[in-house]
Amino acid sequence: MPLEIIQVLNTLSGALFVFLILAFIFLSWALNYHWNRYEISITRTHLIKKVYFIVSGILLLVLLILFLNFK
Amino acid sequence: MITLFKDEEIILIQRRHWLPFFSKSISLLFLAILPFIIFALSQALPQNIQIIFLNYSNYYFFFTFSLIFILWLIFVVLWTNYYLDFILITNKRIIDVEQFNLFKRDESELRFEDVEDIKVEISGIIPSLFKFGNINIQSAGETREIILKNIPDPYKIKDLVAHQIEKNKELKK
Repeated sequence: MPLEIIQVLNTLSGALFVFLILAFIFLSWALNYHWNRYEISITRTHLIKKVYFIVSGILLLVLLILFLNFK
Repeated sequence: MITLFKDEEIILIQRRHWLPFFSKSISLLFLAILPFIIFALSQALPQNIQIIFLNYSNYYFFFTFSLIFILWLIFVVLWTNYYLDFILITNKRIIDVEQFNLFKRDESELRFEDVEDIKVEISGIIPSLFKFGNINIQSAGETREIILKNIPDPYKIKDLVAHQIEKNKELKK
């Protein structure tokens, strides 16, 4: 594989990974605010949060493994 | 946050119809599956292109999972907008909560004594098939009009509101 392409892909993927983490943190804060403030049922809010953080966690873990794999 | 009056009771919490949300979710699902379909189809391409796909497969799957993660976040935002968008009918008023996005939310309310006219509007093939539509409530109060959009079974809601208006009138007599 040409070295320049690999360098560009490494930089791009690194920047994308950081962007995704930041987007996740910001959105989690915004979503939590909405769920806590406007949801009517508290038990359902807990379930929503659980599902959101478990799925996001799994996806981020897969991304991290893939990211470390080509680093 | 909605605060009820002392002697106020919730009669119905009605969310919008699921179909508009479902159609958006299906598009997101299709976009999430698409990179895997492209990867599978790449096996049928000439060998030199296959080699490129295989050489860069780590990067390909990293970008694919990044896309899936972004689509997942979009899905959660769409779901939150759908879930926090509802109408609340109490024994005193109708509260319409519209969640446009995470940074735009609109709450309007109408007391039953101010209601002048209620109209139901179902237009289009899909709303007719799935029985959802808009309820247009005209009022004499400060809020001139409330349009409750994409409400499932709007005639039932209209009847319920009409019944509550009558009940309120009888109580005042």
